[in-house]
Amino acid sequence: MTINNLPPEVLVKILSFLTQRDLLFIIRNVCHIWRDLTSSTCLLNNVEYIYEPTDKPQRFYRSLVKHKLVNFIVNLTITEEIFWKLLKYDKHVKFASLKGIDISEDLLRSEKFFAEICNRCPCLERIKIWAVVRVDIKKNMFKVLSKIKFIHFDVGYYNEDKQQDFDKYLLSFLAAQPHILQLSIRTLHSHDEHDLARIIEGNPQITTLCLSSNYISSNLFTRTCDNLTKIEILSNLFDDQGLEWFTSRSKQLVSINVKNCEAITDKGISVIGRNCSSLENLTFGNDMQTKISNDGMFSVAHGCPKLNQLHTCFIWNINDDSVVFLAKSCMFLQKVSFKKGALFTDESLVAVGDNCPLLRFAHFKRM
Amino acid sequence: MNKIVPQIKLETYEKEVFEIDLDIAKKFGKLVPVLQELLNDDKPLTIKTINSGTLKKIITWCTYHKDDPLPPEDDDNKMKHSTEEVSSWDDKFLQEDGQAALFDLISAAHTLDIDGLLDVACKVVATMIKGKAPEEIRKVFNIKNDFTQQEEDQVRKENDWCED
Repeated sequence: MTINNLPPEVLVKILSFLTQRDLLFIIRNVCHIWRDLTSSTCLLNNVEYIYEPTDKPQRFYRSLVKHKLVNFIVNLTITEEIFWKLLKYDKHVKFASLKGIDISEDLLRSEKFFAEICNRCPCLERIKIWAVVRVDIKKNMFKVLSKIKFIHFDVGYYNEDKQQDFDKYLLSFLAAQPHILQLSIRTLHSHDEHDLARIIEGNPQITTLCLSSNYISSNLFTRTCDNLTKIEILSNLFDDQGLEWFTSRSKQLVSINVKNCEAITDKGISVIGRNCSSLENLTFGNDMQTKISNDGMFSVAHGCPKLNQLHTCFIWNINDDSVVFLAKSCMFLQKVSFKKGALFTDESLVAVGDNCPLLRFAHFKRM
Repeated sequence: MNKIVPQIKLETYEKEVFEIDLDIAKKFGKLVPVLQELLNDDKPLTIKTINSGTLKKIITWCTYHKDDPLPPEDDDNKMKHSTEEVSSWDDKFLQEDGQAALFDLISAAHTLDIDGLLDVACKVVATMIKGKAPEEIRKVFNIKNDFTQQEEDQVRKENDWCED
């Protein structure tokens, strides 16, 4: 039997393991059967375009337009500049199946860009805006985007003049987004504490929350967040009290990432052990970390029996005692890493190897 | 007294009948209920599209992977299409009899609905395609270039035009 005797659905399955770039530039040009297959909806549905540094994205996107394959793209990474080029090439272009867009540009210049995205992507539900948004278009950006009900919203911006206003636009935008499940806000400035509390309490449906900003006040979150399962907080002022508030209000937490939260000590890590019996993933520690010791690790090992991933960095004060206890208590551990710091010996490695049958990845490094 | 292991009977293209333990045949996705019905029947299920050599290989694969855990159902894994996950045993097992046998095996895995085998075999083929130019791919898989000169020129023009 030869490859082209296989049923088309099997051929499609084989091709689905290739990148979209391969499909468009290589596979299309092999023979007529393969050319027809690359235009099949299910093939382009299942594949995401993965950007590679050596790529010429223009070429890729323009080729998509040319071959009328734009309708099948589900996830797209694009910059404003290329987007406009695309429109120039085909002013009627529509992304009929597009669900997620990742705007990877450094600087967004015009608000029209967002209006065009809304008009041309009727099914959009995920957006990631890496860009720095210019002050004068911020307000309208949220106004335009509010036409779409997002499920996954990820925005980053820098502190500038009129920052307070921007936060307000963000707030009123989020207040009208009842379907957001995953929210990421990446900033470098300090949020108004009340605003953050309002976001979290105003969108109780959120399951994943990622915040990186200079100050995240803890004692303002007063309600329970029953749906929250995943938090990621990157702030050097987020502290034990903050962890206490989060963990006591959302008992279902499955994943906690507090990497780079310098203010967290043993007390905070112990709180995780006390409050999060469902926890599966935990990441903590940073280069300034000296406040976490065996005590915190004992508590996590004791209180989080389902833990399957643990990543730490620069934990100077832990040794074999707690690692051995961890290995004996958390038999579901699959990935564990201690990057730099810990004072363990072979004893820790042996304990992990002996007690964790599911282990797939282990990284132990002392200094 | 020995415990009797339930067996099902499959007849291949060459009319050879194979008896397969039910716990191995459980890998046969959609066919499982059909096979269970046939359990008490003495008549074998005939599958004319599968030859004996291929069925033997399938039984070997299913036996080797008998105790594999079911693949996790989360979205992360579904989205991730990586060719790295093929184990070296699988890779060797699938490629040792040449291309024709591999495609027979894929076709049979499709017919018998053995997801795990189909998946891993398709990955192996995808790896064979990866990183090759269209001409090389045609050579490897013995595919006839059925584009007209005009279409070939068109492809060349498209690619030139795209380079900017």
